[in-house]
Amino acid sequence: MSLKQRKSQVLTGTMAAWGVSVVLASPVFGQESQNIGLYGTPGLIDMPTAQVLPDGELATTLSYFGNIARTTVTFQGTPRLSGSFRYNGISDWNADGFETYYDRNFDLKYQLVQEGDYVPAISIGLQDLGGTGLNSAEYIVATKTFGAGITGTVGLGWGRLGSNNVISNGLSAREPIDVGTGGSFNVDQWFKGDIGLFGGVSWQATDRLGLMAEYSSDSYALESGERQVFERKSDFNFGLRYKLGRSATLGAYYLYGSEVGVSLAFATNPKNPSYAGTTEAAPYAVARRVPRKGNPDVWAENWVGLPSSNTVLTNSTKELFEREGLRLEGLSMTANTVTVRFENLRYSVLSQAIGRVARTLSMTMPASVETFRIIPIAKGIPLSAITMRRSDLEALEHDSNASDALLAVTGFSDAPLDDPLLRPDDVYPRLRWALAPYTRTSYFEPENPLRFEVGIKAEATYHMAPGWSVSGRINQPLGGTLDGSVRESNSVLPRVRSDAATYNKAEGPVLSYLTVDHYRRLGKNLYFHGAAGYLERMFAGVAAEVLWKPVSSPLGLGFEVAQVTQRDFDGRFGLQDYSITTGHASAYYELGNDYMIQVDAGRYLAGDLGATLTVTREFANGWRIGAFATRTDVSAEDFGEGSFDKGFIIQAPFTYFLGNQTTQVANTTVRPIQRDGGARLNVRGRLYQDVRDAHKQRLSHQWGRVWK
Amino acid sequence: MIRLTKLLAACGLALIVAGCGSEKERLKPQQIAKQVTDNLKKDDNTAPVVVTRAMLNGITDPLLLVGTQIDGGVGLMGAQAINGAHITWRTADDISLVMHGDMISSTRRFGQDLMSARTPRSPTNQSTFRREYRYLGGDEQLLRVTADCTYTAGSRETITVLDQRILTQKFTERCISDQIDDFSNIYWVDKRGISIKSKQFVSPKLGFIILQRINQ
Repeated sequence: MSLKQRKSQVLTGTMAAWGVSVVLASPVFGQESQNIGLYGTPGLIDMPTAQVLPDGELATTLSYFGNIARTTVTFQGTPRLSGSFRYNGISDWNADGFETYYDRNFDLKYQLVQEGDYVPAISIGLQDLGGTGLNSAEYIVATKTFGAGITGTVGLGWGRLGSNNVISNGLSAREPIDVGTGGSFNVDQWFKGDIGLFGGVSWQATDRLGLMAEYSSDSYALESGERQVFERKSDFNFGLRYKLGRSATLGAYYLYGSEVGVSLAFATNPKNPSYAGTTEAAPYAVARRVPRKGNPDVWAENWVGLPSSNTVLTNSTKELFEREGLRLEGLSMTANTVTVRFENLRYSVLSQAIGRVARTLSMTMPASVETFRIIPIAKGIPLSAITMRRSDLEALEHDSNASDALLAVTGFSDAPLDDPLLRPDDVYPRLRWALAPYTRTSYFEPENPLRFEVGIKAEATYHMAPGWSVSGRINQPLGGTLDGSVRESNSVLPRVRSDAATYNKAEGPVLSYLTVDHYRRLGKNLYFHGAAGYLERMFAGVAAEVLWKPVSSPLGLGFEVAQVTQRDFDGRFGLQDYSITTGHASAYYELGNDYMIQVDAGRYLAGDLGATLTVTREFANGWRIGAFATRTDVSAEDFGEGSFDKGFIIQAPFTYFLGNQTTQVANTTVRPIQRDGGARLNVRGRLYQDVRDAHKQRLSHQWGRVWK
Repeated sequence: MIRLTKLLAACGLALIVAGCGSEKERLKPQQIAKQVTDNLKKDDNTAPVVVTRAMLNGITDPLLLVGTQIDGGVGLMGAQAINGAHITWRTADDISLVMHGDMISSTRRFGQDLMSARTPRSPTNQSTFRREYRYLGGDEQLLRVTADCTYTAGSRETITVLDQRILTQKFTERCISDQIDDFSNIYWVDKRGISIKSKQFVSPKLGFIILQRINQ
């Protein structure tokens, strides 16, 4: 392999993780980034600082020096705690069977003390806290800002950061890592062994240009010694970083007396879109009723018995709903109350849709109708009931604190399940279809760390009746490298996921899914979803899910079971011999302040028993960023490389990037490696997200948009 | 089969850029691309529109001529609804603002909108007032800003509003805030006590809106 090919592979490899989030860390949008070092976390150059990113910030960094390429995604999950995922590629490794060595890291960092007037910021960090431990290090670091833009940092490091300028041998020896299959947390190593001293200074020379110098406690003994990846001649590093725009920073460095390095960092913050405001049409004013006194005819209730009133009111409401991007599912009316079921087709935040419903009802309903009971629908089932008084809408529309004032008088309850609805004629049956391009990607394969496929997808859903639908999707690949993988599964478990490369080689149109779905309410706070057919790319069968979720409760409980058979590789209708009954009990809990925790316990596709813990931060505008890990009764040896299933998820609303209102989101799940242990069935349309989004805690958190 | 597949693919290629589907609310790829391009483009340097009375074509209904100082945008608004002391005004392209007497109390589709506000009705009968403004932050949380305002009457001034010369008295509202830059609103009040023209602060990113009452 030529030198050019090797470097190309390294760059491709480091682009792999970058490709996950490049659209999310857009250079056009986002907040100003903090100083981010070569490890993709707040740092000087190669050494960390005690600084943190702004709360909620998502930073992607690409760095390169001395044949070492790093791509890091860092998320500041809380104001003090951040997590990082890093993909390293070291070319000229020439050992262990690798010409280029790829390695994945996870970091955690916690700011113990925030900087004050006289007190420095102090942080503690775990770098590459598991697996092979190539970059394994722990540190405690302090950073203090002085006048004139000067910041000083000093820290103590263990592991890699304790390999140079050793000031102590520590409390106990640091034993070599027993890598095994990798992926395990090297807890026995943490804060053990030699302690190195590192430090440095940075100077913000202008509002865009920063200069820095550091003393490194990383000896790079392996890279510069045994592997000869680069030559380390000095302990000192120097660099400069220049802010290219609102969220991009370019760095250039001279490292270890021999190497020139570069870095490019992008930062985006879900709480700070670049646009000033979304671009949807202004809402119509609440239509205020004439006073009852002096206008008794207007307030009369005799319209209820008129033969045409229901049709007229339903049609006029439907027409105005369509203007507002809402689908009217049905109405029921008495003299004083209207109950409306609707589906939000436009707004990224449901509370805004609810506000538009309320305004529209004020325009279409007779004066005697005082109570609006607004029921959001998803997948044909009612999710909750939001009850407002028309008088409150009229009185509070222009209140100086209109949002909070309306929330205080709005009721949240379970949706009534037995309303005699008037339904427009064209609600059911109806067909939804779309023809559009698609992309698929695969990451971290040593031979080609970023594989992709582009093609056309045709998808359709036929809504037969409330809660009943038939859905399907066909992918036609047009090109890419996804089918070029030569990686064969060496799994000792049933190959429920690790044969992905074989599935990706299917020629011609591929049936992605084809299912009959049924959603229904089983009773108070109870929701049901059943699906049958080709449930996902690799499995067909039947699945059923039940969810219990009271409208005002942060807790939800669910149970899902499925009987499935593995599909043929060719993407057509055939099945293989492997069948399994899989199922999980799930608990969901909204912790408040954007955080949610989910535990799923049960039997996975390979027959293993265990549980998955998922922690996510869910912003009111639709961003979701989280991490998950699964442990089952499959041993690390049987699981194979990585030891257990883990990864992170990112969901971003299109509205955040475009400013247009849309319900569309972009989703990605990234795993360092996909094996067969802890693999769960990918059932489309699971209940929790849709149900929870229409419940009190979520709606209240987004209530600022109700008058928008 | 392969030829058929390639043919289908070729036909599909023609649709890739277009994208198509039944759901009109679902953004098509070309719409997304256009929006990204529009967002990347700097503001174009088209000359601001100058509205003249002749353009009104004999309309006698009350109108508001609204201009945004930040980009020179101009629009005509008609009264859409009255709710107590608040009047909602709206353009033909679905931009709106609400007036509480002579004061802007909310806006929609101006960019960084003023979601709601506590304002006096007029600058003419105030000496001091604590204004409250509420804006939507990036994560859909409302941010409250307060400003302490004082009012001073100024000199008489003849202004021109759409070819009509009107004798007014100028009032200045000086507002001081700990949270945003201090600002001053200016009102030109006619002999009836109505602010015929005003320049009012709306939000930090939008800046000032200039209002002129027509046919009022």
